[in-house]
Amino acid sequence: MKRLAACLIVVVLLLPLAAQAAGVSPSPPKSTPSSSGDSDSGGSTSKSGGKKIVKLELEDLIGNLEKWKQDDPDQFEYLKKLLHIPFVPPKNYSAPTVLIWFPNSTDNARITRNEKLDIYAWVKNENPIEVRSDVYLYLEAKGPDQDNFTRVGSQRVILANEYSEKTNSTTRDWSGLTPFLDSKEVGNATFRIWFNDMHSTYYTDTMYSKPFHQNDFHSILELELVNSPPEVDEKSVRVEPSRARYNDPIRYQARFTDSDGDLINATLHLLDDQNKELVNLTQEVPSGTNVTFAASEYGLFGEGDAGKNFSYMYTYGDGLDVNRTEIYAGPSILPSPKIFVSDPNVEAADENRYWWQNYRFSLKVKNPDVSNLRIDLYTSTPSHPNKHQDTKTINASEEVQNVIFDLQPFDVSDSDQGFSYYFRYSATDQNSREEMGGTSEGRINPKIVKYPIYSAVTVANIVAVLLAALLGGIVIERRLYR
Amino acid sequence: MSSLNETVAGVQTVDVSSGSGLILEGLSSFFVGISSNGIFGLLLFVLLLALGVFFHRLNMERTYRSVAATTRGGEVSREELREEMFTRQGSNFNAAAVAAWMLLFAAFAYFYFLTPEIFSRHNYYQVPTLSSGPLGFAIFGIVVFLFTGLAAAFIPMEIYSYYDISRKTKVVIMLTVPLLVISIALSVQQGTIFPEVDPAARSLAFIALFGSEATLLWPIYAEALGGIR
Repeated sequence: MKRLAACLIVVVLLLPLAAQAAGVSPSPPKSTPSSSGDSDSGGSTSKSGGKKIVKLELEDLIGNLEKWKQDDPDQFEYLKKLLHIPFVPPKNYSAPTVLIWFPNSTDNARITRNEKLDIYAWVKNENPIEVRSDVYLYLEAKGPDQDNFTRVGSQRVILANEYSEKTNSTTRDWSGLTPFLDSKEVGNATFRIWFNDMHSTYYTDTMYSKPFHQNDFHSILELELVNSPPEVDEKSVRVEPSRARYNDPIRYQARFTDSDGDLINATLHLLDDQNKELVNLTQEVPSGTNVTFAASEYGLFGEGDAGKNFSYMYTYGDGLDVNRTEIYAGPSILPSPKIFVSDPNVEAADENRYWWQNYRFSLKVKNPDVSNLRIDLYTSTPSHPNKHQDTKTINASEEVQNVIFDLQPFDVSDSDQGFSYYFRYSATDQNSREEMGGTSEGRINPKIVKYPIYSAVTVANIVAVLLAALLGGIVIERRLYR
Repeated sequence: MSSLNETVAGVQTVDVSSGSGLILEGLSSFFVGISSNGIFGLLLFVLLLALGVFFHRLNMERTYRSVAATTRGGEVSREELREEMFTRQGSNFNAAAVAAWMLLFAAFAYFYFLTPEIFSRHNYYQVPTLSSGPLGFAIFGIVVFLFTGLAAAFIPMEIYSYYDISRKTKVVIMLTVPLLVISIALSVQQGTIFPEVDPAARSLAFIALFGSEATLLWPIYAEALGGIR
């Protein structure tokens, strides 16, 4: 009993301080009794001038109180009764009026998740200053995907002397709030204010007999949380290079924008030539910035992909809406080189470059592996684009082979036109291509008739026309004129 | 004094020669100009033919009226009159005339539709397989014969069988055959040197072509002129 009496004395001494702390601050964290010092008394002892002094730590006191609560609940309840001092508000005290002030709320009834909100508490306290008590306020919000209000922003305090002398009112602000940043739904967003005036705790949505809404002042602020889906800038979607070797630095790039400024989850879906997904990769990027997937970083392609054609698409969302792009082709992974080609060339039979002359096309080919390598020659003029001329087949050899096509590639309609040519081969060259060509430096001679007027061919043509006319005349005369 | 006369004579000689040179040059440039104008050539060719048809009908109508006026009440049908007027001109002449008309159409085609120079989008070279071959020129002419054969067959019968054609005129009409062959040869020559142009040869071919057409239609025009007189 002596021990209990000593502790009670200490408790009584500390009680005012503890009571004040409990009224304005969250409960202190639970602690276990300290094992240091004199364990029976729960405090440390020392001797000074022959007197024994007991020094009680706060943790020790709490520990003892918890112990008493368990060991002797009746006595503990009695102790609580003894220590409880009911706060009686003075006569004529009235609770302060607290409203939410949201400037321009009629225009800004729709908000987005990223929109920074400036919300104020407007507080009017009609009590005389000597009766006023401190007011503690929290702003609470409930999003469309929430069942209960949660506090947003930090606590605001209004002391008794902080009201306007003329209007007895004041404001406190919560600026730059984004309470629904992580909301996964759109819909109603509601705000209220929790406040405590040292006498009672109030909620602005329930303390009034009916909801108050006037101009920009509200007892409960109801807004609509909306969302704009993200968009893709289709011109920015590309894969470069679109034809590349598997180990080239292939980069997928795209730019997505969200008018709300939401972060965008961009997922690249790599598809095979049957549009089946092979792998998907996701990055979170700010609106308006390029998202880049480097193939080498993710190891997207390997040697086994040589010669394959891939395609891709993106899905992109802002946490609420998810969209997808169309399927884009690329990249085409170039096959590994099998042959080495060089020096494509063309020479006309002479400098006149008539259309009826032979032209000699040549290409140097080193073909160590491919048997029956097929080489096709094509020429292109405006009159005959991509005209196949001839095909040659060569066998594998360690020596460089000069493949020659000596032929007459043009007709009269090609005269006075420039031309290009290319060789197309059935294997991949050192440039990972399957064709090589060039453009002729000069034009084909504009002369269109091969034969001069005095040639036997031309004379024979004219004589043939004359004879045909005479024969026709004779036949017609015999058939019709007799 | 004599030297002065020589000088004056020399000046006069120079004037005369330079004057004739200017005339020739003017004529040459005139023919070059009109021969290069495809639309003009087409219209001229058709106009000469159309006038021939018109005058032929006029001649036939005038003859019918004259005969009808002299029958003193007796009726003469137009068909009977045509039968009565029909005159055989001789096999050689008829065959030559048909050949000449065939060659006229062929020469016209060779002149205007051989090279891209006049009608750049409608010409013989738009058919490369034909024009690239050695027999292209002949085939082109024969194709023209096939297209115009009917006209060439019946026009001579219609316009030469109802006129009194003198031996000289017949010879002149028959001479259009070599003249048209010359026109065709000159047109072919233009084709063989294309894109170069020989203005003299072109003008000559033009004159040969339209001179032949006028000659072939001459009996009609002559009768019409006689009637007018």
